[in-house]
Amino acid sequence: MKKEIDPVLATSARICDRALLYVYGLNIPPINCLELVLESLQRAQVQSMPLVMDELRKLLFARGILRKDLNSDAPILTSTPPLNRRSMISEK
Amino acid sequence: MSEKKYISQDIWERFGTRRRLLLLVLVIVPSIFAAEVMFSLLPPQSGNWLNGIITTLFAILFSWISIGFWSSLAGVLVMVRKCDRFAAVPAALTGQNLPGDFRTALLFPVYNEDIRKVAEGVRTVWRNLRQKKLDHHFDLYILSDTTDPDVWVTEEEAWYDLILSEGASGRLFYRRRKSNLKKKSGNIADFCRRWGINYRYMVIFDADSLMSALTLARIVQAMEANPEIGILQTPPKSVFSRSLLARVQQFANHLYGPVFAAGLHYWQLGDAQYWGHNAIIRVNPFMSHCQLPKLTGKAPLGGEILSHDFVESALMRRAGYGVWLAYDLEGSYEQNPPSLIDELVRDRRWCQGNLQHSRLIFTKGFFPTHRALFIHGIMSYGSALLWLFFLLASSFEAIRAVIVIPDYFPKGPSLFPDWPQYFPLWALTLLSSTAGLLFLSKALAVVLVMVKGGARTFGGFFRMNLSILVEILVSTFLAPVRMLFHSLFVVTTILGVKVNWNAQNRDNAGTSWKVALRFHWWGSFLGLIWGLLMYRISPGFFLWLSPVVSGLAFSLPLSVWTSRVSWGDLFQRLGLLTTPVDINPPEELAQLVENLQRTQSYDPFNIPLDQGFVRALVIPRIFTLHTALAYNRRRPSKVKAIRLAALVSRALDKGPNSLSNKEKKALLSDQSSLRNLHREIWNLYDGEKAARWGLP
Repeated sequence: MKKEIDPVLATSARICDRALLYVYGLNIPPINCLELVLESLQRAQVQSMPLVMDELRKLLFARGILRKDLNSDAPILTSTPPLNRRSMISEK
Repeated sequence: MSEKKYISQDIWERFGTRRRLLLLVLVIVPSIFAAEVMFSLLPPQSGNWLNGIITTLFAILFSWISIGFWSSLAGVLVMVRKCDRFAAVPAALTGQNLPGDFRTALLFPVYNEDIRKVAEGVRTVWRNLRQKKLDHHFDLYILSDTTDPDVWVTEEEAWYDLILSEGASGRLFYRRRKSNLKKKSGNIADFCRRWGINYRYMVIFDADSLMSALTLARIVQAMEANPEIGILQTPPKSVFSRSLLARVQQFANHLYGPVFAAGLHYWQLGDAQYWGHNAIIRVNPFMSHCQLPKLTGKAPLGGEILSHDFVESALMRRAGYGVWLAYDLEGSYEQNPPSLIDELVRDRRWCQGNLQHSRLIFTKGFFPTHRALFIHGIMSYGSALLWLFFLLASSFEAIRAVIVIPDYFPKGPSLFPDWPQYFPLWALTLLSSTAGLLFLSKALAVVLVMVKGGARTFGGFFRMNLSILVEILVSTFLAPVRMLFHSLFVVTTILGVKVNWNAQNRDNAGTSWKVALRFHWWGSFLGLIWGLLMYRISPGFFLWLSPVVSGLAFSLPLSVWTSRVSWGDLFQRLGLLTTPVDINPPEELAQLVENLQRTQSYDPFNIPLDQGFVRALVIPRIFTLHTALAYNRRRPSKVKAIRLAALVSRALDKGPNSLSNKEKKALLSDQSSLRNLHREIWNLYDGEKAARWGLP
């Protein structure tokens, strides 16, 4: 007899997988990942992908793992040294 | 150890002038004799005009190939001498005790490259420098002109991985230009304008080139020891060749290259040329004197200068600095094009660049040697057209000799007919001389290798000679194909006709038959018709012409077979086309091989590395990296904002493949759109839409 998949459980599993994948993608240690996802699921209360992901993002901002405003005074990553300009003009 | 003081500029300039005058005499005098012999061999019945054309073309081509011969001979002389007073990097410079009051910039210009290979090359250079405790003397820059949005993100990822894994933060930099104005020369100039003043020297790499730490240190020392050197060029050795053609060229490069480089050094001294990469440049005079002008008129002979390296050499020399070739320096490497078609695509660009130099021959202030080198560069491709004309004129001559009945009484009625005279011995002498010029230079290089006991590094005496035979056969049959294409390039460039030469679709097996057919069908057809015609009309002449028409007729299979990695591997297994780097790979090459074989670390996302755009939008750490590196934080205009919002909407609805490269770049350049799209992608519940972005 074909086992039917509980749609509610399937939805929850998908949301959980998505949230876990997100925190894995930030190179956070696995224990912390589980903790963050659990807390965001609890905060969201309703099993909705956007709500859970939003709660997860708020949690990450609150803990300083993600930076909310990239235009802030916080140092951004730079891949070049400070400029030290000088002109280079072609001769005839 | 004290540094050697070099011979002053006055002395080497004097020696250089004398040597070049000698070269001129050695080339011109025998060519005149050879031309006279040629003229006397031609049937007088053909008429002076045709004989004149053939003789003139022969004289020019004979002169051209004799330059190579005399260069090789001079190279042998240089290499058998125990010391060279004009060596740019003498043995006394060991690379130790570099001054600590300045750094040298190592520049890696990239343009839509396989960034994994570039990154591992950079990693190899950095590790090699660290191992030799030379890292604090150098800064590394990846200078990107990349236009492909996927490659752009992959470059950022590769740079970040390098600084984290190698501890190179603050020493390895990455800069991407939004517009690639003036291509590679503009890329370097942009670096000079932004940071050039921070460095005394810069070393230019190619995407596939490599230099050892010791070589880098030695060339810096050479520049320090001689303030009159503006550019010091190293002779890169070919490495990592897999296809048959690349292996043949690698073999030739290792066997004949050193002698030829020594010969170039002999004639040029401080009037050498910069080859565009694997060279060290003194930054201050480069910035002051070597910015390239824009030529008046339109492309192909006007506009931006394409082959910038030769012009920069001439400008540096005009400014009073020498341009030298460190002919005997090891530890400098590059890779060959893997197939004939790749080589010809590259030659198309170089041909246009070299022909542009015709606009600069009479530039005020350029030294005569550099004017001659411009002409030499033009002749590198122009000689192909002359050779084609020579063959066509000779074929016409042969046909005429058969069809037209000789006039035995050209001066009117006479008792004694004017019989045509033939001088087979002279013809044989002329043929032997020409063949001698072509092959003696190779023979000299081989003898030198054997005398120095180097045959073992080429697979042993027997295998080396067999490899030489293979190289001669492959080169002989491909020469007419190159001749035809180079002639086409010259004609289309001069006429301003644009030819579509897109990069071929290439898998690991080499050039496909379909692509080869598209490129070579007309050459094969020409070879077949030409060969059949001459065989029917003049079988004797057909024998002379057979190597040329055979090469053309079989160009399609030759192009495919020589591009095959399987054929290259087969020859390697047979011990043929072996080079010293195969027998005993230098430390830096072994390191690069090891780095290229590194396995990727675990990544929970199933998004391939070459899908940089998707990785930037999906993978949180790469999204964070890209947005943190984003240079432009200005808000877009209202119109642009609406357009970007529409792109975001389409991307969410139809996936990343619904966007063009231009649209992807627009999104990657806008912070707000990036954040929105990233958030909405992760919020997607629709399984099909999420799967397009690699999400469960």
